[in-house]
Amino acid sequence: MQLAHPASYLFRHRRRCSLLALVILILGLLTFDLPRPAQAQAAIQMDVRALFGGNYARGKWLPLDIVLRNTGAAATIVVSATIPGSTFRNTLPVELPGGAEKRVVLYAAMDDQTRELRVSAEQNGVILTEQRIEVRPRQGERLLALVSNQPLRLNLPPRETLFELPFLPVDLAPSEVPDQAAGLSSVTILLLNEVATVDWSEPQRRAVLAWVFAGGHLVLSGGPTAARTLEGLPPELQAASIGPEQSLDTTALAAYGASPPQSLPGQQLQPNPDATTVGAIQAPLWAQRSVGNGRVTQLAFNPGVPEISEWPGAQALWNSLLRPPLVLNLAGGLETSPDYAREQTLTSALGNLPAVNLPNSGLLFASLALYTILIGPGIALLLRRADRQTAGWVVIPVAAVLFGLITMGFASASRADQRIVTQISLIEQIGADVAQARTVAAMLSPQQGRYEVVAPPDALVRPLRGGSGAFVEINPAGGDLAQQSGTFAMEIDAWQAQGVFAYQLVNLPALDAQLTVSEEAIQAVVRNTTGQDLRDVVVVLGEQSVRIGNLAAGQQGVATWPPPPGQGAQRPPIGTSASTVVLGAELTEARTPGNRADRQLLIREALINAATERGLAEAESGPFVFAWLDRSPLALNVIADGAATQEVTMLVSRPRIAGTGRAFVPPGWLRPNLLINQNSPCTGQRGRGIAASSAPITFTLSLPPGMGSFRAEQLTLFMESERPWPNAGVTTEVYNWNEATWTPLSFDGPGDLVLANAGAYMRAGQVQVRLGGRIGEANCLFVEGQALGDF
Amino acid sequence: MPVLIKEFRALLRGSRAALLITIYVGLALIAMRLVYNSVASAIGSGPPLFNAQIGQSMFIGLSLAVQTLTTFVAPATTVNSISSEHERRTFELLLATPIAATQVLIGKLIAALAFLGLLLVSVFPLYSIVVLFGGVGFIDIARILVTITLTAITGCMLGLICSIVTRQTYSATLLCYVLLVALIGGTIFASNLYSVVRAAMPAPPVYLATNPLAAMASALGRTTLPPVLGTETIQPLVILSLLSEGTLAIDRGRLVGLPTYRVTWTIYTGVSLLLFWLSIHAIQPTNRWRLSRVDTIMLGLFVIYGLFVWFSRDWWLAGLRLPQA
Repeated sequence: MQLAHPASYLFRHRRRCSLLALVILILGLLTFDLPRPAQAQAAIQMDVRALFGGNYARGKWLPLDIVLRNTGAAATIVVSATIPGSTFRNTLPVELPGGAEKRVVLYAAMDDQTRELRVSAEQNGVILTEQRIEVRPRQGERLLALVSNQPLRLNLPPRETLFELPFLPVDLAPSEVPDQAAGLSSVTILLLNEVATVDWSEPQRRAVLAWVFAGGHLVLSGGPTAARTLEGLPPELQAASIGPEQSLDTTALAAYGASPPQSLPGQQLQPNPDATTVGAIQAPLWAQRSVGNGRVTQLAFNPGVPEISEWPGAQALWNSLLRPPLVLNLAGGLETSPDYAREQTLTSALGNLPAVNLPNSGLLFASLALYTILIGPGIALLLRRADRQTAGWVVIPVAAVLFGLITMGFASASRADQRIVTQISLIEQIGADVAQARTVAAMLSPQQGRYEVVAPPDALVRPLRGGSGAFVEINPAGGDLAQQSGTFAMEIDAWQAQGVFAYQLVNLPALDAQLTVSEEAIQAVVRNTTGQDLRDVVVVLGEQSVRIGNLAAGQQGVATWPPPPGQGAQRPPIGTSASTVVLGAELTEARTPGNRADRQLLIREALINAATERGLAEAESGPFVFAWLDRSPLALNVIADGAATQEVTMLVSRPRIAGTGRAFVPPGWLRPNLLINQNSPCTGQRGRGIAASSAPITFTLSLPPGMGSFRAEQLTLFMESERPWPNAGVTTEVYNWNEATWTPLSFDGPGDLVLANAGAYMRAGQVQVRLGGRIGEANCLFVEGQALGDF
Repeated sequence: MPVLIKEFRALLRGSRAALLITIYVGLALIAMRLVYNSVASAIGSGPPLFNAQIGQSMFIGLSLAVQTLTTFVAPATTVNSISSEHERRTFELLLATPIAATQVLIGKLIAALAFLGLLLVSVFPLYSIVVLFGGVGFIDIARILVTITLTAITGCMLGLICSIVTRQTYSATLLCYVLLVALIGGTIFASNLYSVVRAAMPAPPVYLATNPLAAMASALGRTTLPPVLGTETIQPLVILSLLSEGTLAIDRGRLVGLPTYRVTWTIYTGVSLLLFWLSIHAIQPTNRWRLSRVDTIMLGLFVIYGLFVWFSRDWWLAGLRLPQA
């Protein structure tokens, strides 16, 4: 046989060889890592500036103002912010046409201590440019953001003269006010001066509203342009309407340790019913109102005018007036928002993992039961019929092993998915059509993995802070947490419950809920205007609640408020938590010996606690409407088919309180507000009280928010104490708002203190009481009241 | 060999063996089902349960059931093996044949162990339920398999010596089970009593070193959970605490079982050898304590055993030491 010459072979099969060469070439090109065009790397320029001068509060968000310029071809780049050493990045995809300049805001989730942020722009994983930003953690400080079109300098007390909560003023241009409430989370006080808020975008307005709700202190400057500042703000953020200009009565400023200025130009403020004022009744110096956990202070004057800035008492005034509404002394330092405590509560609740998907064991048990019969009498009968009983020594083991292998193969194939995904959402209504949604989600998997999570594009996501869960430890997840993208990646280690926290302001029509107060009864009316079905709707105020039940979309539920318990009747101690009021019976049953609480019940308890708690401060007493949603508006869909999932969502809303004509306000509605006078709480046999360690002690009793227009005719205060009330030497005074003086009363405590003609003693739903003399011996005071009056 | 063949034929004749297999497998299956029901009923309340934990709970339930059954069934397979020959007066006839007494003994013993092996193999498919839920590794299964096997051998030897010594099935059964109950109940009682009188301080592991149920509890206690839980939620090991007082310990904040089963393995091996040697001599009709070639073999086995015990002392003595703080 003659062998063909290789050249002749190639010539004869040239088409086949050409095709083969082409395939090899294509494969080579595909596998070869082509160098990226050098000009693409040089085309992107980036300028990064951290807002608030790079100052941030522990675990809060820091907005980064980033300007990107592309002098090359159009590109899609990813901007990322990384804390050195962390396992996650906040990223933002940006489309940059050729020659374009774009300004974007990237929100960086901060930790407790970092002083550096790495911000980079990258394309297909290749870093095009990187910048290192200096940042500084600020804990327990008053970060005062001055938003002003004109230069504004306040005469603030220097850091060294204050024992705590020093001021840290930073300038913020009106256009830089973040459009995400999280972007303001590091700010303690936001002062608006000569700002045309009508120019703000709707997200900016919502962000400011949500920030105040969460515990921020918004200060609105007075002055000639005050109306412009007020014009674009939501009604909830307005404490008073503005009247004509006039010289203000400065007598009340004498309380700040210096003789008040002779004159102070300003406007006449007409306070809203819920607002309290300081100064002359007709023309107060400022009006204040509470909004959620925050506060709005509306000044009648411009704080930058020389009459104030050069006044010796200015520093004392600002130190007192610009206090955060809520100051929580936590282990890590002072916090001015309950968000941290709430997140911890929600994270802990994540430990109530859902039940795993159990494999279908019924068939296996049934086949094993059949096997039990077959392996003994079954085989014995067969062998006896064949007269081969001795063969059992072979048949029985072979049958057992064969059956075992089959069942084990079946068992291996039928194993259930061991992955668990759990998420808990707290939806808090803060405006007519807006709610702030917080979702914590965690995943547990036997294998390490990277999971895609679908989330609303506007949601800001960061790793959970971690901590001990109810049953398992919850750890932060890693990965690229993309913003304005709709999806992000979550990296999970094996056998670790790890998760993320998401925050977003969502469009949600407000629940139409109202408590109608009359002389005879109180009606709770809830109309479901959310467009979703609501389950187990309940209205809570103080230690009482009324159940509305399930409400389909558009449905209305009405219930009569329970009458006050009669003499000798058991009533919950003062300060009983809302979760106990709502779920008390179920929780009590679950905690009896032999029972174990359903984990869904524990999650519901945690959600109610998270909605009302304020860290170490007293919890909010309401009124609240709690309802359960089937689907969270801020759902994080972890793509893990087959995993056991759990989603619990609670909607919390604050019902209006309304009334017409004469009305009776039952006991428990007029209750101590410890935040106003910075009273210390105490706990005794009757529940939570006011610590009376030193005299005199001043405390304020408040009606629920929204009852500012109630005019009391008769007030009855119930005052008890943990230790015996001294039978002599205790002075009792009630503040007369009309005359701005304390009215001494003769009160033989403990018992009921009845105040007839009480109109002068209640302003904006508040009654102030001062007890002096030997009251310290009573140790712990339990006070509440009832009122008769008119709306 | 003739004795072995005869025993093999006799054991599977009739319905007794089939019934015993069904009861053995059935009881183990019922135990599993009860464990599953009790665990699955709590799936939505209390600490979260993972499939691995359910699998481990069922593994514990099944293994304990099998060990308990083996402990009591193993002596039963041999307790009448020699005494019944005496009662039927066939023992002398057997000895009149060329078959030596030692061969009779070995034949009876192998047949009994083979039947026990049959029972254990019959239970094998039940472990598929454990596979369904997971949480148990090969080493865990191997550990309990060795424990069960050594318990079975020792039980057979105990039954055999009782049968030889008493020559009456009734007396042999009584003696054998009195010893067994005393061993199991007595050691558990003693260790719990020690704990009660010392303010709940665990008894030294040596108290339970010879207890077959404690050995199984200790072997099962080494089964570890996935490192998922920062807090100790459900440790199936806790189920075993009643049986294993003194073999549980806190190691770096985690509840673990001491490897006391290694001590039990070592003791059971030695006891089995000793009982076998005693049986060889006790079965002889005359000159019982005259040394023979078998004694040389046994001496060799004892030397090997002694060397093993000595050189592996760190390994098995770990079962008697509490973890260092």
